[in-house]
Amino acid sequence: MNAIEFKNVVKTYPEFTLGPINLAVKKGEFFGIFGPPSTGKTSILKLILGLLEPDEGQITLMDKDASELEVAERDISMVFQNLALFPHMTGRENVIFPLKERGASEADISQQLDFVSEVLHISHILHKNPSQMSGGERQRIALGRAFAADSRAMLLDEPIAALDARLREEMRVELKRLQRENNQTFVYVSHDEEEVMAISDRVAVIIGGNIAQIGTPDDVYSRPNSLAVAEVIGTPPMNLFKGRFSSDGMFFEAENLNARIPILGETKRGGNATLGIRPEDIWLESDENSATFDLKISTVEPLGGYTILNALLGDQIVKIRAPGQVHIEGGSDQKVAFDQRRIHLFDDEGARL
Amino acid sequence: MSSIQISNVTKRFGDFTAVDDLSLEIEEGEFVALLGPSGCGKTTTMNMIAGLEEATEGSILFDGQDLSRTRIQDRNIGFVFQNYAIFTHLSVYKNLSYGLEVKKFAKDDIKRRVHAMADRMSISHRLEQPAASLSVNEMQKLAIGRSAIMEPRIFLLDEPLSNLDAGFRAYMRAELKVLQHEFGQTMIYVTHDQIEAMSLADKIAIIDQGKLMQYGSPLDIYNSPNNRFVANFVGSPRMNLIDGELREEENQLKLMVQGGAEIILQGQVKSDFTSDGKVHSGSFGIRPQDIYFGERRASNDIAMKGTVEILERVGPKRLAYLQVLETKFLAFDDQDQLKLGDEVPFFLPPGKSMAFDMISGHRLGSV
Repeated sequence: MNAIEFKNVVKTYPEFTLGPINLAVKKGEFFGIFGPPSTGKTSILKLILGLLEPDEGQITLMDKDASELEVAERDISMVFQNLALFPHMTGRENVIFPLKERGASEADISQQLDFVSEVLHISHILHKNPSQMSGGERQRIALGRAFAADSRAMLLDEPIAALDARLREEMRVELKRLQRENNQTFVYVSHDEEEVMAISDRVAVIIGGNIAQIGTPDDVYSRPNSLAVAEVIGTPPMNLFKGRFSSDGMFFEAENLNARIPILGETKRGGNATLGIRPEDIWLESDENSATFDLKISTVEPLGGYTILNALLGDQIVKIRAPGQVHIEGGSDQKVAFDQRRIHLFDDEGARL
Repeated sequence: MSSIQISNVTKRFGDFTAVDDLSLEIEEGEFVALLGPSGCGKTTTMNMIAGLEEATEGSILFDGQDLSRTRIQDRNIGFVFQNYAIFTHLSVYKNLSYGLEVKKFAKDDIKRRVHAMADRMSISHRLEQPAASLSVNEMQKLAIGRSAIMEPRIFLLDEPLSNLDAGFRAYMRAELKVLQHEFGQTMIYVTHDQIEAMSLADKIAIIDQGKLMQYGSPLDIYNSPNNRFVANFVGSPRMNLIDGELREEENQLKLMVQGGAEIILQGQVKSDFTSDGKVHSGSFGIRPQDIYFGERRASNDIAMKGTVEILERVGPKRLAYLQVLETKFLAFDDQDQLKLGDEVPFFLPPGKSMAFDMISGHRLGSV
């Protein structure tokens, strides 16, 4: 069953139109929504929650028409980016608020409180007022309150953006575990691509108010269906070369590429196109089966587990991600090969070929 | 350009010790990152270098000179803060030229420098527009350009990239490094982001609770962290650190972990744990990329078995969370064939494993 379904949903703002959006979130799914800032991600959550009404189209929640459901009847919790905690209540009172509202028994309340405090590491801050907490602590209390409500679906808007890196990694795993154990439906919005890709079962990439692609993280990463998606998924981003197919359609050529790249499969003869290659798919050696280039390494970023090399190919900056620790100096010349099997091609309109 | 000697510096605010007996040598032209969690004292350290705070004890020398009596504006130090202090009502040009005008540079010289810097930062097309009209990313470039144009002998940057989105951050990171190479300035860079510190700095000073934990090149720190804090802080995804009690049983030395998991120690890491002649509690460390699956590659590689609880896509790879009773190991799915719920054998090469003392946090054995 689908927990949430959008059919041709449109929301119009004076300077911006969201949609038409079509998507279906399955029950028990961890569904990520990713997109650059101000592309309509939060509006989608507000439409699900009922804080906004669609101008066109239909939203269905657990097979019921959402327009006939009051906000309270939807049984959905939301954690906002600007967490709305009750300032006059302690952490504990904030967390158990939804349970009290619902008239849960003392035993239930204390059990639920113990459970969320352990998962979110908040036992030591439950006695504090929000004004005495750090941003990260407030964020966790807000999450705790949403979890305590134990609703059917949870909507999370950049819920861990305010936390520092280590805690964020830890919380990511805890959120995922919690979601799976409770078999809840999660819709998770973030502009942090790595986070969404790591945590979600499926991801919707939103660009300019429209869904550009929906798929598993593996799909979206390995087969971005458009240039726009290729540009925003992956850190460092995919290297892109504007160029064209040769007139016989056998090669791709570009000003900045000092060798032609043989193309297998269907091409547009003589047509303009963009070739993409991810930083990890460029090898620091020549390869007889792949196009090989000479480039100049400008700077080297050693990250321990891998190394990022910034290089110049023609006048274009190229990023290479090499496994492990490589010992190459900035300023040196280097032969590299593009992994022939991992070349992405996009046509003049930006659609994947 | 200038070298900096920080000797036994302590800074107290009332009862609170923000910086505790910290010593650092920064060579001329070096790019040094002060790295640590929020509240560790890294910004206080930078403020003392800048002269915004005075050290309670110890000394800071610039090329051997004490500048504590020199006015801040005469120290020739450039700043870039997290909240870039830009004159938003002035044009981009005016923002860039301001410092030069104050220092009474010649008109043509100013013009030449402003254009060169704007070019460098790719904001030439914005020169005549008010700074307020810039995007966040351009604003950041302007903030850096405005300081860099003064060619200060020391450049201090306090989390300059923390407000930027991920893609632009990666771009600015590369740009800053090029800038430093070109100008050859001494740069001190405060950050809590270990990836930024690793990728930019010649040397990293890792600070925790006001104390210097380790000072060295990024790869030195990554490859041989000298304590548990550094091991945990540097590297992404983080190092597996498994805490437990050492026990000798049937001629084997085991690390017994709460919840029942055990690691039978072998080879190098075994001798590291016992290098001080004692059997005590310890912490076993191994980075996710050093764990492997499939056939055992060396006879003394430590064999484990775990259940794949979570698979995450992290950039080009999949990261697996392997559950061994109550203990979790992070490992890269190096052969791209793990499935959720699988029970799989995996191996820990002893030569790539590290031993730490649980109490002091110190690295044990060969470093």
